[in-house]
Amino acid sequence: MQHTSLLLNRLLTAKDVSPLVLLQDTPRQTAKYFLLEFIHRNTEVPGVQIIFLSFETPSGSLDWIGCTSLLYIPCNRLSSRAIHDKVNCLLPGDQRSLILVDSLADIPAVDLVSFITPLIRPSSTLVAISHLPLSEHSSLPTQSYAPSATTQLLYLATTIIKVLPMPEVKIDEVDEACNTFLLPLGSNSRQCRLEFLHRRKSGRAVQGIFRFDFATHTLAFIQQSTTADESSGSTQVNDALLKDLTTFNLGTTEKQRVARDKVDLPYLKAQQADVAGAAVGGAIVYEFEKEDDYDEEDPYEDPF
Amino acid sequence: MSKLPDLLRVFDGAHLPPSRTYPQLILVTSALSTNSSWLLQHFVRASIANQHGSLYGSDSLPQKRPVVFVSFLHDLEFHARCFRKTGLDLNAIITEKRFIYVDGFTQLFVATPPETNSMVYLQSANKSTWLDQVRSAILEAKAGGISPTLIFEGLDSLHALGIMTAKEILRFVNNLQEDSGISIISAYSADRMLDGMSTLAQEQTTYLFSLVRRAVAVFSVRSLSTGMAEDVTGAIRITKGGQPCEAREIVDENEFHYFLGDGNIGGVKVFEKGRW
Repeated sequence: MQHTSLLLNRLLTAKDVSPLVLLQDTPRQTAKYFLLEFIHRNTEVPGVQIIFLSFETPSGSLDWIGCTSLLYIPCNRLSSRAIHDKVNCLLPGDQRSLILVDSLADIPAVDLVSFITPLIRPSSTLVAISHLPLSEHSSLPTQSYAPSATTQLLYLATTIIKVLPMPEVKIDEVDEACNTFLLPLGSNSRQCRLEFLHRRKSGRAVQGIFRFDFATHTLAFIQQSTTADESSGSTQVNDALLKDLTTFNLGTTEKQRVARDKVDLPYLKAQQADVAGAAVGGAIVYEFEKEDDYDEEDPYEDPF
Repeated sequence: MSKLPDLLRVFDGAHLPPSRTYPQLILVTSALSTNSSWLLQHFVRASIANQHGSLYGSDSLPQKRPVVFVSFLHDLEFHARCFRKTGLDLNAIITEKRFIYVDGFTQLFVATPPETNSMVYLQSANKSTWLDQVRSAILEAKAGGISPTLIFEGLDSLHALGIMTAKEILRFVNNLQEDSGISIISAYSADRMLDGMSTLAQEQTTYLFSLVRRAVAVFSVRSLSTGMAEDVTGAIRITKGGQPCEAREIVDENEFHYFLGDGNIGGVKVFEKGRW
């Protein structure tokens, strides 16, 4: 849990590189506030170049964030090729950078992958918003067995964040009866729910659900109530199964369970982080003892 | 009528001082059974008269903004009649260049020789010049130094008529937005126009959802789901759109009922739900 929120914070501050971060949103809850959070967190960070590729954000509308290192590129009238050239021009070397794309919706489905791949660079994170539902991107190509553009994006992405309205925003029954598209009150709020999925290089996926608030710039991990219920339910089931099975007592009492949760696991400190995502503890200290035969001049003797 | 501006003043757009403006979009959606012209007319009045104070405090004086009104649904006469009922003389503000009407309705398919009056007509035969036509209207309105409010009515009929695709319309809007302060667009949002696999439904969905994402505020006009009522015509809901607007919240979300008298022309009453 702690690790997941640490990971997301490090992604936001561009300390970790995830080649393609895909934000999926719906008309009810925009992902733009979360996209702006990337700018907000890197405003004062030296050495991080932020490039904003705008398809639907008018120029000047980002001024209030007050980020001077932000490079805004209006892409409405540019071809994919011209956009790639501009980005390459602005990022000549292997500079640490964030490339933000406010919407992939305007790019034709067939060109989507060829638009994205040249923007993926070794030390930059590409953050792109993919709007759902989008019939053009989700429909299957007619002439082939290839997957839809939305599916291809999900294959390519190393981090997928679904941006959902807070559970408090509910669709009224009366609203549904009026036979028209209607945003519920509370839509597109600055508070939203994030379903986070990160694929590590090893192939392991890390998941988590967060509550994000743009007003306070905070991320809070939400304990999934369903899994919590399941786990407590499963222990009860286990206890019932183990009861009277043998003469040994194999179950755990409530007191034992609480005590087990309180056990301080080793290396927990190493996983803690400050707000910026930097580790605060966990250095390895090796103290030599009398029996250690350590030769300072031998380079292969290093205990680490 | 008198209550209308007070309740809808939460986001008139007319409050925004010119120095801080950047293109902002307000979306007005309506079901098939309702008419959103009255709301567009409210925005015209709010922009031209701007009786309210500025949202930004005393440092910026409220600005009266000129209006460029592009309509593919009605002719000028229809709007003039509605405005007359509410006591606004359209001819006066047209001669003062505070209101420019771009008529995409009357001569859309009929190519008549241009008349001598200064009206701007859009014709489907020469749609390549539309951008320049509307842009020059905007620049004409901008002559006073204040970017005008740009209002589009019935743009979605263009893709239904096969004149432009939804994406072309969006690009058209995008290009024009840059020259104006605030743009207000009306679009149909009835389920019957959005559901299904027909090209028409898909285009309308693309169009509507793209506008929702670009808008800072969405005004949804709909009829009552409970049926007809004698003293209530429908409901209007104000929600935030997908475009972050400022660091602080400008859009006040709310829901009101409204009543249109006189056969949907002219007098409008807007009131809080249950308070007649």
